[in-house]
Amino acid sequence: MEERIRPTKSGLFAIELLIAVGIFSLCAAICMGLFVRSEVMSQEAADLNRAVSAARSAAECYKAAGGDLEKTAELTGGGVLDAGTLFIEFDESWQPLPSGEAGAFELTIALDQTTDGQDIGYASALLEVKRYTRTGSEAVAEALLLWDIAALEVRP
Amino acid sequence: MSRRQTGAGTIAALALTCVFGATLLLSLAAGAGVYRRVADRVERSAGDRVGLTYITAKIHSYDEAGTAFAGQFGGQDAVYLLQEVDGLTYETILYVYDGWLMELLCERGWELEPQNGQTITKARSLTVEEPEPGLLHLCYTGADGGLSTADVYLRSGG
Repeated sequence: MEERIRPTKSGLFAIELLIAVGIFSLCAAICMGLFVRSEVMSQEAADLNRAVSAARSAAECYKAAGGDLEKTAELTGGGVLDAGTLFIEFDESWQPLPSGEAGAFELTIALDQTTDGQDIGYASALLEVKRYTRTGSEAVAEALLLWDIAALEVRP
Repeated sequence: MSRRQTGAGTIAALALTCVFGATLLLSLAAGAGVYRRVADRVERSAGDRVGLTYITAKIHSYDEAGTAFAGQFGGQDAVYLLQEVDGLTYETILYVYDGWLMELLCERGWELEPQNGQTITKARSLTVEEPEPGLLHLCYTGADGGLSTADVYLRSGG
């Protein structure tokens, strides 16, 4: 007949503790995930705030320039690299970069092609801010905001 | 049950207790670190924006022909906002003095000192330019040294 092994007090305590540690570790892992998520959300919120500020300033310059992209580029420090599109590049801390340099954030003002050249009494454009995540030579763009803007008093 | 087996069980229980304690401390430290970073970021972001948003909102609220313009006050750049009440012209001056964004409201023509203004929020510097008629370019440095810029186009044309 086999001898039955009787559990000791310390053995039972160890098993109980093992279960408690397991449950706690599971909760801690979930909490860590939430911590990381909150960090990412906080950074995204800060970026969106700065994007809105930059976009508002660019839109004000566009209005002041009466819808003239070249003039807007002079006022904002950006560059018109593509026909009908103004680019402004920013680094990680949202400081403007010289025209033509690739940054972490990019603000573009593209003239509305559907109304371009038509006499509708105002100039309209599409303002977009993108965040670029660069891994090696690849860059993945993510749109932060997209606005329709207009300069009601178009320069002659 | 041998004494050796009982000792091993006790050591295992102690080791697990240590693991439990270490996990608990690590979780708390991670949580506190994340909270501190999030709070810092929010505070920094607010510190940079509050002053500048205050100035831009003020400019927009005074946006009538000839009532908002850039100038100098106490040797520093300032934003001047004019308002006419009962035939008298009052001016609101926004400037940075002694580490604070200040606001001074007085009758136009009075010669007051920068320290006579009211404090709004902590700030390091403010520069105001008018690169284009009706467009004010503001460079604002918050209390923590963060530089923010804003362009305000006066709908009235300045």
